[in-house]
Amino acid sequence: MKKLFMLMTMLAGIATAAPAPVTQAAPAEQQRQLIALLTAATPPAEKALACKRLAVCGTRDAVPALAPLLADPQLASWARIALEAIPDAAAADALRDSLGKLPAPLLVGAINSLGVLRDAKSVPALVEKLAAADAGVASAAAEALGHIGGEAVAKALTPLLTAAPAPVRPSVAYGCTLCAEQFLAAGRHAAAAELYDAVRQANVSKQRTIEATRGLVLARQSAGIPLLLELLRSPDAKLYRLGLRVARELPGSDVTKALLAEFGRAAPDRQSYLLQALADRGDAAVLPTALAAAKAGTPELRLVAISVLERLGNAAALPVLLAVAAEEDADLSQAAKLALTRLTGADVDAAVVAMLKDPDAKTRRLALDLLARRHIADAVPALLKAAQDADAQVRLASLKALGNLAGVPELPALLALLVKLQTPEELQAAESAVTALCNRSAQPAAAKIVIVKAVYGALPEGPSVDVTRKVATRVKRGALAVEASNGAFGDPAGGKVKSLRIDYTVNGQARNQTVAENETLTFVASSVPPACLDAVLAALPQAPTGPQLALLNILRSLGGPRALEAVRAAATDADAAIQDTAVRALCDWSSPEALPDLARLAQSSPNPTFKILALRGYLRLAVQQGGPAAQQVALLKDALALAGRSEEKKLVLAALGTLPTADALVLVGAQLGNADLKEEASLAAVTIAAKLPSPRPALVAEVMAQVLKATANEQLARRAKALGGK
Amino acid sequence: MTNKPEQSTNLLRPAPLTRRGFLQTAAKAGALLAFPQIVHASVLGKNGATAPSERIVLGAIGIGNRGSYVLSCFLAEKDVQFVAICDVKATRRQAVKQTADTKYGNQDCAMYRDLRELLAREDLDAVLIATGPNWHTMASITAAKAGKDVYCEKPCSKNIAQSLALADTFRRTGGVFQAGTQRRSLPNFEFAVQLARQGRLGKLQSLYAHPGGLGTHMSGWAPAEPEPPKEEADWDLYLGPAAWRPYNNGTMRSAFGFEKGGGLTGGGCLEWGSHCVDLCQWANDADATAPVEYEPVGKELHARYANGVNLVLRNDGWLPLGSCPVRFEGETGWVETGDDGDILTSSPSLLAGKRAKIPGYPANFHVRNFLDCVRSRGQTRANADAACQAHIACHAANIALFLDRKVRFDPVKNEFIGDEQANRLRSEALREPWRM
Repeated sequence: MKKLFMLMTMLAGIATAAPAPVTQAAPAEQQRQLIALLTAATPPAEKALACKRLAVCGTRDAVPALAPLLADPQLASWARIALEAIPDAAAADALRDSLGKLPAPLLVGAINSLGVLRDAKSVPALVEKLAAADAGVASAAAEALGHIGGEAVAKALTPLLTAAPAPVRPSVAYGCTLCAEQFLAAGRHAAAAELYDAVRQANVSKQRTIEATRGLVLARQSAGIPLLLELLRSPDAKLYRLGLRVARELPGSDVTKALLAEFGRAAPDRQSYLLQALADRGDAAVLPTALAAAKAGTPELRLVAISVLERLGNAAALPVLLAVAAEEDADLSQAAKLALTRLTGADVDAAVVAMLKDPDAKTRRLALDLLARRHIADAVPALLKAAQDADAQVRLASLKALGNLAGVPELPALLALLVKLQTPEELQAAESAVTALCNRSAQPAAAKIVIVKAVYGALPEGPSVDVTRKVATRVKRGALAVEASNGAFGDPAGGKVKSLRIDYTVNGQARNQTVAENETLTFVASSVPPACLDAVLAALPQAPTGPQLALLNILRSLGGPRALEAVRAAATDADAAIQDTAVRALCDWSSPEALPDLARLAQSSPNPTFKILALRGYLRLAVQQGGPAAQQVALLKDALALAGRSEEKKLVLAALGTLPTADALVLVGAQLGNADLKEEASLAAVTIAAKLPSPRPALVAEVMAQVLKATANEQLARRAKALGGK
Repeated sequence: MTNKPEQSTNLLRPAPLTRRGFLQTAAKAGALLAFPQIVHASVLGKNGATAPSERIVLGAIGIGNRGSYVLSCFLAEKDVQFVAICDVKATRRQAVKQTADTKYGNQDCAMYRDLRELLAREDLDAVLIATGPNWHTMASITAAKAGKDVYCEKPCSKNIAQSLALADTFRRTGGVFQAGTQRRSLPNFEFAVQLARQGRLGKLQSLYAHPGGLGTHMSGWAPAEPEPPKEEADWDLYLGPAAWRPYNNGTMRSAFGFEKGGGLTGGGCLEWGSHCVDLCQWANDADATAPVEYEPVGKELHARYANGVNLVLRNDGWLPLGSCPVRFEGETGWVETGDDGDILTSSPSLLAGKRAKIPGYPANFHVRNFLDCVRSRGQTRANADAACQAHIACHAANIALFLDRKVRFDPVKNEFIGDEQANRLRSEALREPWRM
């Protein structure tokens, strides 16, 4: 109740500058105070809000203080707020008593309230008001009576459908409709129909006729079908539209049957709407009609029919939808394909799987497309067979579908298939399928992630925005990856290529990552189930060369120490193709465990291409793994020593430029004398010097002086001078 | 001031269904739609034009900032003919007329101060209602009783009784109603709802809505100020069904918040809950019901559906997914999305089939869905029944917050169980002569 008291206090505060005090007394005491406000010479604002408060806590004791306010033009509506809310007959009594005393505008309010309260005792008094000279009063009485309902009301209102003055008749009709509605809800269909029909026959507005007609059809139930059909055939737009509405409301299979027959007779431009209405009934009896309409008819009707099949169809709809999907009309074809994807039911899935046995390869290919779209996991055994189909396209599509649908239990069978494949296309497809299967089965490693800093923009020096809170909240909600996009973070650097850099910890270990715009940054690596790796490693020894290459690529994707060991062994294979693939897999390895292998290859491989690839892989891992800056600088120092060409050395310098440490500055400074590298070294040196966390004026001045000598870039020279270079 | 133009006989004819109309929102009651689809120009007819006799004739009531935007979505539809504006403020009437007349190259847009006069026009098929929340139910019901279809901004009702009256009236009159909860027609929200409803998250456990403020709210009786001429600003019509109080310029300018929630309750829970609670209702396939228990817990409001699914209204501000975020959790997965269009899921595999996101939260798809249903007479995405239940959930939550205790609700009888105090807050009397 605390809030209640607080609010009451607030209400009083709004009312006046110096409100009467409101205590947090017991309800009875509150009421006593509020009643005192109503009866004292307090400003109307306070009385008004006292009424609102009495609506919450008032009892019959408050009614005598509220009743006089019904005659106050300013406070009558406030008083009725309380009187409608107080659950005591005394409130209705007060409203009823006021009927003989109030002037017309306020009288309407009291009558309305009695209607809201559905006060049966007021029927005689309200019937009397039907004859009021003021049309507003009579109209209010008619509608209030309609809300109260009952035999007496029906009897009083019906004659007025013809006898009431024209301005009152719409409300009389509405009152009759309200009354009839209550009869209908009580199961008194005949009484309801009689009243609805009386309104329908009266000279009232079109809208009142429409309401009564709707009610009449519903009240007549099946006997209302002829009237419903009459509406659907009407040249009058409003009546026709009512027919479409009631066609959805009137229940019964006989109604559906009649509507289906009407569909056959309807003009083409009405068939589409009627078919929609039929579908909204949810009756499967519409399906044959929809099937026929999907095959032939106006394009608009066919589109509606396809949507009906999508919603209500079953396996029987497949042939028709498949045929439409193959048509040249893009709208129809697209709609049919969507319907084929969304059509629900196990029988539909089974029928699609059965299509894989169709003698026509085109049908089998379509089935494969649908299997993938519908995610039919039960189709995997059939897909394993289809992967050996006579038709090459079917084989390729089957392998692709297996990548989407197969699970770890099916992996051995898929690998057994892979090791027998020979064509590059199928090997590629199988490799992709196995990789996809394993990746889908991967589970994110359990880890506590804390976002330290997240920045999105034209990094490192262009416009950017701090998105730490956004990223942190997403991670708090359970997200393990974040997309670097303007959609997620806005566009802080219009027209420029942006990136997202996040500093974070995983289980207390500091990390950072930077990804380009529209890429996804994943915080924790997912771990592939051991069963996946076991199956792939088991397949490797027996595999011929071609499949073995595919398996090595798969191992590269899976990663981890055991996979690395197998790839490392293959890198020394006597078969040149296997060795080549294995070395390239090492060079593309995604985790730092491969750094020693890459350093060794970069240093001593007899193959110059391998040396370059290995060095680039080393450099990538050194930057990618994050960790303390000092550790990264140490790795980059090694990389610089391993680099034989200027191209790679420039890459190392660029990476060093992102690490603001004194050691990095020294390393970079040492390259300023190299004619091929001096500009890249100058840029890195200036960038580092500008961001050094602790001042090293002597070192910076020395290196900047070297920059001034080395660079031909005026902008860099200006920055070097600004940093103390002379 | 008020124009009374000649009545047109340009009634909406049962125009043939166009491929455009069908493809754009595939008006299918209760179905999740294919959306958005590309349509070849060849199926639209000449420049996609619609013959005047087949256009939907539209009027608008209460057009300020939000209303102007939604109206622009209507004006962009080639099968709409906008003919009349009603607003209690002259400046707003004139601004809308200028927009419409400029678009059509004529001076035909009629202006009204009293919505009853606008609704008396026989030529109008539908109205856009974007008044302050004080008027939403009353104007919608008045329009329906005049035979007009209605697109109404949210929140659509001030209390539970108004929510029910709204649904009852549109059922009774056969009118088409679309609540301005346009997120029901946006792909990211639809996708998230599909995941929940199709069981791809496992058995649904909890739904999270972020109304962005759960405080209760009331507009009061501000000091009297000199009242402007009615032609300039009609205070009596501004108050409409709200209890009388003297003219106050500040109150009149705060139309967006005036009487929102009906006085004793309201605020953020209604303002944003009518969107995000509505989306949770949709995800739980609960368009025909509402939660049965509501309880304030710390900064949150916890509710529970009869099917055991929990609904949590959070009060911790927007997530980085933009405004109006929702999260649906099942036994095996979760999905979360918001107004920036991004979708987060517990597993990347759940994102299969995700469509391109649409930036912002435009209303044009929702408007198109309404127009298609005006023709087909099918149920809109945010029809009166669905809007009714979503608003009931918001009002019941507000009542629990206001009373600062647990309440139990019977969604069949539409009453709080054994709780006289809560039941008193289900409705509020309207100022004469207005009635539902």
